Amino acid sequence: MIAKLLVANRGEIAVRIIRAAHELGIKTVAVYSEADRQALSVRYADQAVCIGPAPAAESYLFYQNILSAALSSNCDAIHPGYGFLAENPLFAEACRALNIKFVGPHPLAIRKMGDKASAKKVMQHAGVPIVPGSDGIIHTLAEAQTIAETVGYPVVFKASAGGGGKGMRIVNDQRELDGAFAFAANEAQQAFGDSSLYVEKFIADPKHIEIQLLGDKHGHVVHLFERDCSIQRRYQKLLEEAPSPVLNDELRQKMGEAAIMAARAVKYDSVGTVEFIFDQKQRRFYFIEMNTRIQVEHPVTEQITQIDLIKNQILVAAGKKLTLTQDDIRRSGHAIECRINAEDHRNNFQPKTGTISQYIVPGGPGIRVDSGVYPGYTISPYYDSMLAKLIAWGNTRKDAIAGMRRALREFVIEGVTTTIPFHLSLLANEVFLRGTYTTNFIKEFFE
Amino acid sequence: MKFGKFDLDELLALMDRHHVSELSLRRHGQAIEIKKSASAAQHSAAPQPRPAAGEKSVAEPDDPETQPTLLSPEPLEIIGEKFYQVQAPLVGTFYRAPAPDASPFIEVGDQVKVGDTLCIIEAMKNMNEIQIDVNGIIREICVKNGSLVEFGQVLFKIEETSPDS
Amino acid sequence: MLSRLFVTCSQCHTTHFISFLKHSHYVCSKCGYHFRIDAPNRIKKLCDRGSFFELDQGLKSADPLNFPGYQQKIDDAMIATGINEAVITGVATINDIRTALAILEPRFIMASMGSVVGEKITRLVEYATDHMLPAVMIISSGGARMQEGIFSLMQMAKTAAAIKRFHERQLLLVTVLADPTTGGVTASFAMLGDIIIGETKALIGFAGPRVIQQTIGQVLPPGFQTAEFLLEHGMLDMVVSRKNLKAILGSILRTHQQRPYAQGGERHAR
Repeated sequence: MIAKLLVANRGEIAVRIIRAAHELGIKTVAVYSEADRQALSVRYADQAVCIGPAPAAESYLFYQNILSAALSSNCDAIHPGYGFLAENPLFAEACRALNIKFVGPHPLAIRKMGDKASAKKVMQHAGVPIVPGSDGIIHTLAEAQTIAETVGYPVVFKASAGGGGKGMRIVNDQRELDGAFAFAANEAQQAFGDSSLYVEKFIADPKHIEIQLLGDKHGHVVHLFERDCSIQRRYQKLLEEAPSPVLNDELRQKMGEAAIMAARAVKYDSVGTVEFIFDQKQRRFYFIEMNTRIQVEHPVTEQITQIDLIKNQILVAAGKKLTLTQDDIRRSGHAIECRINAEDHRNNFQPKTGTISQYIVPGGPGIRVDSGVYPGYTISPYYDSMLAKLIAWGNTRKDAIAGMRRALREFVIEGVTTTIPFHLSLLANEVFLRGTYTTNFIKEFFE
Repeated sequence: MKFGKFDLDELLALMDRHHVSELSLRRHGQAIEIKKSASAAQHSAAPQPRPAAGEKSVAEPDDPETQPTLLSPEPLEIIGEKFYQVQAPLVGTFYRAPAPDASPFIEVGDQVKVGDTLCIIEAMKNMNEIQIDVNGIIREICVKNGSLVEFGQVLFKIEETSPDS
Repeated sequence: MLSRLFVTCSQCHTTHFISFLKHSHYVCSKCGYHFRIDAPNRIKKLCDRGSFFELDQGLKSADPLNFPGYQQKIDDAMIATGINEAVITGVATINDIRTALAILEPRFIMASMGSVVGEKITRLVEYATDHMLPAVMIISSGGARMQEGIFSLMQMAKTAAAIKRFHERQLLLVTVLADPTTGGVTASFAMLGDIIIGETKALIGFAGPRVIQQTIGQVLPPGFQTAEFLLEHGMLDMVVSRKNLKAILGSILRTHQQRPYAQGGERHAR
């Protein structure tokens, strides 16, 4: 069993991981940059080590100091959180080489799923439905054209080395193909240092539905149902809910099984998420990508299943066998998460810095707040603008929405601009209430 | 600037409140001395009760009549950390000697010049020699042998000397 | 075994895992120092996968002056590097554009230019001329190879002449100067590129700094003979970090794609 865990992250997820570790009786070491000296994670951890100046490249991404801190403080495991080094296969391998347990999947799984084009191929072989398109990376414009003509326009170019909308370009007809190809390749090169692209059929107006997975090092994998994450702005999620309001149990089961097939294809042995796009009209789903890490929105799954994903992630990393079977996993009720960021939603969601002068967290039945901030906390410009994740659970979706509305009104964060008003208008929106919103929702209603 | 969790402003306010004209504070890694000139003390002076027996005595303001009138534009003279601080440029384990049974690189009182090795920080099984950037005399060794050092942690305090002394 | 996993940057002394360093193109992520890399590695990083086709691989050096120890030096270099001489030439595609490519191998007697290097470069340029291809050369060199005397120096003229004929056909030559590029190579084909790129902080010069300092009797300015210094003084067109090299070369090649002059015909630029 793991005795001491180094948390290689910051903000709310670092706090989350420390909480889980402490409940398991594991000692914790928090690493922090000079800008995060006053962080909550630093306060909660048993030990804290400063690993560099504020810029992430010199601290949270500077793996040398992180590995060194782990070795010098006798940690036997590192939890990378999400972002930063969480999906860097080199880092996972480096941990292995130094005999430190990496709380995540084995490096090959990270590599295979990190390359989006190769991930599609792996899924295709495994029998998981994929979006029709190129077989891996396309090398020439001619190739792209052939594929586009086979699957039919519109098509989309996507970067193999990364996501977040970079290196993505929608092509409506043949005339746009050349320009889109060059543009996407260039953007991909700038963002990821790799201009490799793949092309697939563009499915307009889809839902983004992902399945939570949990696997151990002994070949067991289970899924913990889905999350609907279609509320996105420029590929950044703003609100997530579980279960999805548009799935029935039959589809849910099919998608769960497909996700498990995906996990087995790469012998997945940790917490992970398989993302699908769901065509509501056709009632069909297609694999998009697999995220080989814990995700920001994991709390909604935890609330409906009452299963602690981070604790389980740590336990399987320690080599423990998963005693949960798929039948053991039941869901109850409905959960919604609002990501509350320090952004001005009336001004293009521009991130705003500031110091929190007043901070009153909502409470009551079914309300959970995962946050790394507190009164006096100063938002620095070096990292993301997340303030808190507000999660509301209710017996029904209606109850969860009512609870979330109430909690948002109770939530006081003064001294910074927050997206609480945005979330309140979101929760009053007709289309949201119906549950049929797609990934174009934000663009249509809020921009 | 900050001293521990106090802002400079807070320290000055404390000095005002208790009519302290000279304050010298020391904590690991930091030292600060604040001297208020007479004119500033005069400005903030207010009648105050004599300290009761057993209470800490507080410096009383000087009698304004006997003080020379000087109005310096900068009433405060802040002397920061006296010594040059060698800070850890990376994270690792601090060793004073090149090997477990070897003698330490330096001791307190040793004279060192630019480029001399002071210690080793072991990071990821690699031994990194830490060299000094100034000439001087070792005044304080701030870390225990074999302990973890973090980025920016003060390792040594050096009293700087000129190159030819 | 553990020590093989790490490399220390000679500039800033940051320790790197070899795997991380490889991933960042052998550029120190802390200070930007470009580690010297060998020719096969360069080819892998620069060319589209599987596209490199080698030319003139069999050319080996003779010892025309019977220079003592030279043959031994060549044999040792061949064993150490696994290649026959200090330059690898061939044709490849860079981001789908077909180009003639020459890459000097720093591990082979400091990539010094003897008859074989000169001949291979010349043949490559002639191939490109015949096939109307652009040419890219990744250059690092200790200069002309002393052990072949005047034969080495002659290569300067030979390569320059081949490039002249190449240029008469309006073809594009891009030379990339890596650390270190010196001597007779600098004084010949390296500086004949239509576009001359210096790798970040590369040392590029003709004579060595000590010789220059002794000759002119002055202290040399800081940064003397670095790529950035040369850029400032108009000797280079751009300084590029190795991470961006492929993208930039691809972009240059794409921009300069053209159907060159046919006799009296029109030039079409794409």
